[in-house]
Amino acid sequence: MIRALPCLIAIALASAGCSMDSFLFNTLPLESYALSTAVIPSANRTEVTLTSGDETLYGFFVRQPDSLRIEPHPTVLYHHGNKHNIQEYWDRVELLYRAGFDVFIYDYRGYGMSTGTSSEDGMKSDAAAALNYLRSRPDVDTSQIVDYGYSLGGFACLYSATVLHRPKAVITESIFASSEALVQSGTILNIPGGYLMEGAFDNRAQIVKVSSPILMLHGTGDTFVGYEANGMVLSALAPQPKIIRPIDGANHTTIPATMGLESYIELVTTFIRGR
Amino acid sequence: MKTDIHARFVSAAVLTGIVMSVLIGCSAVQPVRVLDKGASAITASLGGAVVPSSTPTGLVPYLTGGYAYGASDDVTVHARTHLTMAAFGVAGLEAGASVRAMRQNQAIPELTLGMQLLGFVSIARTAPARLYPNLSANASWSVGESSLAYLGSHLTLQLDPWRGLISPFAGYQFSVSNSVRLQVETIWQASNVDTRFGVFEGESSIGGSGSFGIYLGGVIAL
Repeated sequence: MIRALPCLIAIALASAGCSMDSFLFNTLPLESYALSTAVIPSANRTEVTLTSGDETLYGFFVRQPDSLRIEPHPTVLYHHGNKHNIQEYWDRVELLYRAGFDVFIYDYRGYGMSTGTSSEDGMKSDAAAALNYLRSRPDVDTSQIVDYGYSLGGFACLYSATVLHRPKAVITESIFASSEALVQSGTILNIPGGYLMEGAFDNRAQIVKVSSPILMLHGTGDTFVGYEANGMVLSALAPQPKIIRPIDGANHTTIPATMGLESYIELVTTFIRGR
Repeated sequence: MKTDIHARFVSAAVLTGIVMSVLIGCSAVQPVRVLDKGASAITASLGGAVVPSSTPTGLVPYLTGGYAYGASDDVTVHARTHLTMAAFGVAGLEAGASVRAMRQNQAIPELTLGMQLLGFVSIARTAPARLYPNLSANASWSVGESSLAYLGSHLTLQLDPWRGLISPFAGYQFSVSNSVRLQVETIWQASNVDTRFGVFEGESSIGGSGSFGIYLGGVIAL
């Protein structure tokens, strides 16, 4: 048996090549979206289809009524987190709508009704497709686009804000420093991310290239994307001008609720309008 | 479409569950009791975190295989390889010893202490090696002539930064032939860790802590 063990290991290693990049992508495909109309009336949202490479993406453009539009009128490009699809983040869209902004939220490939399989490169392509859509709309002032990235969406957000264009402002919420930092803070022990993942999702390398004003939110009680290993690291790396807001007691999903919804809206509004 | 959704979920659950399992470094405790001096056995363990939200409830297939040898009447040395991790290009090996601290006396259980060192090295990618000491203790009772009921706990240590994970377990081992014993073990992995926002977002936790797992084990006497 002792002699057989190395053989077993060799056989197993010969089949090596799996990765856990899909760990990041907690997708939930849909046949149709069911979104609340309590805050955003159906008339004020448009379901949009985009082409990203060979894939078809779905998104929603939310537009303020003409009577409430204040020029210049910022549009928030919302890059959502890793869970399920747009429906999971619709309450966040509602908050930004209540704050007076137009919002575009889209599902990455593999999410919701979007086709394909999620990947690091796919997210880059999808972020570009989303930005191109906003640029194509005559009612969007391209100098007033704000990139907002939540959790996994921080990767698409920073890619958009550093490679695709120079946005009016950038907001990050609960984003991770890299796939390695995420694996370590989201699991139990200090396992190297490289054991299990191919993609680097290296937000540390991107955030130093941000040239727009940036607001960074992170809950100090976040036990999924730990503040010390992620939020603090990125906050230190981000260039000025930057506003760093650790939210005491907030976990990964509760920053607006912990701050108070009105305080959250005021902070975001002041940051964006003040630029 | 439904099948596709299910497949995606199970795939994600399996992969994330592998992380949970390997990080805690657990599999069915083996040997439950030390072997006789000079005896040897092949051991295997399959199981991991339970994913209650999948249908049917999913078990993460974390597989280990190993070897145990009775170095003396009270000490058994053993080694094990983490075969599932090998699929990711990571060599996972553990070696250790189990010591009989106290023999069973009527209702007073036999007490077995274990010490293992778990090591992981990535072959497929560039990543640093990791070592995790693991201590275990279990109390076992003979049930009839060929079965054991046991309970105990692991203490898995992370060295840098320092962290200790407590994983209590309970199981039952029974003979199916003169040389083959099977066991079923339930475990509350990392019971002292808040996992509400971790890999399963609390879905396999007990009250928001740790992860509930089930392992099946087998021991073949050589």
